[in-house]
Parts: sequence; structure tokens; C-alpha cells
Amino acid sequence: MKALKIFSVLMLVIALSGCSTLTEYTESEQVLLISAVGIDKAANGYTLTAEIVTEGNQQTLLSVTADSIDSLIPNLKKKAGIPLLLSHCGTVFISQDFNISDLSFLLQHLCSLYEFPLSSRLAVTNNCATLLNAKGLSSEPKGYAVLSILKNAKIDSRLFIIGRAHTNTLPFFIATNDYYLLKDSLWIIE
Amino acid sequence: MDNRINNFLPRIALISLFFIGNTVINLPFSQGITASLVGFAAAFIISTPLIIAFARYNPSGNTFSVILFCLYALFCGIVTLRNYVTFSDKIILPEISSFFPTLLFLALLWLICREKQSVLLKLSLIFCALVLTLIILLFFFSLDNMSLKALIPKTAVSLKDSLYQGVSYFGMSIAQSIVIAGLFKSNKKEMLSGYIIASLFLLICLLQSLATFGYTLITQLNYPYSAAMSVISFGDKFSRMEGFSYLLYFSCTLIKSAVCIISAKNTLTLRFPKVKKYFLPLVLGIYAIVSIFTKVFTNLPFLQVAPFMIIPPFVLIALKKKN
Repeated sequence: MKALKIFSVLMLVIALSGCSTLTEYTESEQVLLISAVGIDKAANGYTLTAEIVTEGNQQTLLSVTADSIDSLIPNLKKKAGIPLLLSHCGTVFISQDFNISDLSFLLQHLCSLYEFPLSSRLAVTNNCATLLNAKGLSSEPKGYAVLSILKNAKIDSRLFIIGRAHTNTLPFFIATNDYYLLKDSLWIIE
Repeated sequence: MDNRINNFLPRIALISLFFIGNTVINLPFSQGITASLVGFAAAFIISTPLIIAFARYNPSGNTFSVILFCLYALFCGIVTLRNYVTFSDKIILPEISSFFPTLLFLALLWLICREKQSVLLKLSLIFCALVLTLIILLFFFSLDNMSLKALIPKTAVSLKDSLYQGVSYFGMSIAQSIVIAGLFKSNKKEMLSGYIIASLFLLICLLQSLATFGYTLITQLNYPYSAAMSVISFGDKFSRMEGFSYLLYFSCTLIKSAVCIISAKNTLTLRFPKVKKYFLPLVLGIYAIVSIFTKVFTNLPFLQVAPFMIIPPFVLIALKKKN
């Protein structure tokens, strides 16, 4: 009887520790799975383009604008209307116009979001919206395809690595409407 | 049977879990972060003689000492509980109110506090084995993510920062260990063993957090150790191991809270036997009200709470010597 009580307590503890979605059970159609986010810097603010994975591995894009980096994700949540699943974001893209203080602020902001994965990769591109719209070699979401490219090229641009080392060199992807390509040289953020 | 259970290893396990307690949720403290390793080492090395004094402490004495001890133990318990519930509210179950995890936590405390001491000791032994194994395993899995260079601070370590860090660790972990005296009379060997084991494992958690994120990035994170677990991955399939940190935090805070309540109950009911029947429901009711319906102890800078954590043990020791 004592063993049963101890066992029940242990099971309760393990269940309590593990059930992070106890009351928020949702079907996959009721949340938006974000595989990549791209932030383009403009003269009057920033534009965030999010790559959303839908049924059958199809991707759609959702864009929002804001005056500051830390307003982008709240604006995205408002525009989406349904919960966002940011915890599976594979890659964060930033445009060439980003400077060191923008990058630093972005990293601080992403770290403060509990749900954002710190192991997402960071990459620079000429235009994030163009890259996320480009045709890829496969039907895989760009966020995960780029993640695989960076892993294969042994470039470690995970968010926490960049933040820890105060790195200002990042992998660069050139993007057109038809393709996107990893350049050999790293992009230096000034 | 009880004599065999009340032996060395379960007591050390309980003492270790008590020291690790809710400190592991919060470390490292973000203010004066560059001095966190120095502050940690200073706090745990300098406090060793105090630990021996706490091991020898007997909570029975005059009425004032008994009541002060009881209130202090309950205070430590509620801070621990609140710490875990706040974490759970922000990270584990953010979509629902803190009512449900608090209620379940209190239900478990009720079960544990009603049982014999041997049950708490057995549970401590199991949890301790689990917690220590997890800490070691996850440290090794995290080696790829860590950088030794990140441990070297870029600015000089100041005395003020070292003092802040040292006082924080002392107040959050070491000073509260006087509460164990109300549970059982531990000898110097048990107390020191539990203390050393807990210090080593807290150091492992601290090193893992600092080496993963560095001193700048870590100040942006609310729960660095949990975040350090979240970046661990195996291949493409297994990633985000922060769930293990939830188990770790829950185990340590549950044991610490139970020790605080049982210790207060044992001490008070020795002096006032008539309160034995009402003690547990009353205390858990107050804990529920404070946790669920107030924002007490959430988001407070630690220095505001520190005097209430640090001063009472010294007052109790001084009162004992005077008597």
C-alpha cells in the first residue's frame, strides 16, 4: 500500500512536470506553425514576413509592419488572429540593412520571448520577403531547408551562439524570385 | 523499519534537495552577473562554519524562538512555492491561471506532510537520484553548446557585485537550511555532505548556464538554466530538453516546501500540542490564498526579500546562545 502511494505520487509529479499543454489542447489547424521569420529594415520601420506551414507541407506567408523590432511579433499575433506556434521556427532572416545595434536589440527581444527557440539559425539576405517567396529546390519550408543548408555547411549561426560571441559575421543568402543561394563569404554587419 | 529508513543516505538526499531548492530556478542572478562565479564560491565556502552551527541548532526553547522559527520556516516554504508557481505560470502552463498548478502542488504537500517522516525521506532519495542524474547527463549533452571563453568576464569583477551575488546565494539557499533542524536532528556529517553535494550540483548548473549564453545574453533570460536545456539537441529528432528542468524544479521545490511545513509543524506542536489538528489545513489554506489571489513575492528584487531570509537564522542562533 505504501509502495502504491509512493508510486502514485511519483506519477502525479511526472505528469505535472510534463503536461505543458494540459488545458490548451488544440488541433494543428487551430494554430499557425511558423517555420521562418524574415525582418526587412525600411526607412520608416520594419517588415516581418512569417513563413507558415499548413496542411500537406504547403507554405503561406504573412507580413506585418511596425516602427520597432519588438512590436513585430505582437502585430503578427494580432493579424493572425489564432495562436502562433513560434517554438518550431527554424531560421530567422534579417536584411542587409541591419546594423549591430539592430541585431543586438533583435537578439535581446527574441531571448525575452519564452516560446522562441534560441537554437534557431540566423542568416542575412538581400530581401527576406523575396527569399521566403522564392521557389526552392524542394517543397520543404524555407526555414527548415536553410537550416539544413547551414548544418551541412557547418555554419553555426544559432541565435544564442551569435549573442554569446557578439558575432557580427553571419551567413548570407542571395535571393531572387527563382532561387536562393548560400554565398561562400560571410556577411559583416556594421 | 523506521530506524533503517532514517539513515544516512536519505537524509543527505533530503538536505541536498533542500539546498538546491528554488535556487536552481533563479540562478544566476542577473544583477552583478559578472561576479556570479565569485559570489557563488564565496557564499558557499564562507558559509561552511554556519552550516555546522545550523546542524547543531535545536528549535525548542522559549516561546518567542519557537514562534520565530515556525514563522521563518513557513516564510521559506511560501517563497519556494511562489517561485515555482510563477515559473510554471510563465513557462509550463501560461494559458491558464496559476490556480490549477498551485492546487495540485498543495495537494501533494498535503499528502506528503500527513505521512510519516520515512515517506519524505524515501521520496527525497528517489528524487535526489533523479535530479542529480539529470543534472550530470544534461551537462554532458550540453558540452557542444558551451564555450569556456564565455566564462571569462569582459569587465573586472567588482566587490559590490560579488557581495550582491554572494548575499543572494546565501539568502536563497544557505541561510534557510536552519529549517531542517525542525525536521530531524542532523549531525555535522549529514549536513556537510548534503551541503557539499548540493553546492557541486548548483555549480554545474551555474557553469552550464554561463558557458552556454555568456554574461551579456544571460541577463535577457528569465530562467537561464531552463533556457540552457532548451538548446540541447540530438540530431534532427530530439531537441528542447527544458522539460527535464521542469521535473528538476518541481522535485526540489516540492521537497523544500514539505520540509519547511513539516519543520514548522513539528516545532510549534511540541510547544502547543492543541494546534496539531488545525495546523496543516490552516497553513495550506494561507499558502493557497497567498499564491493564488495575491502577487506577493512575484517579480520582487531579491534584495527586498533578503533581510527576511538572512536575519532570522542569526537571531535564532543568538537567542539559543543567550539561553
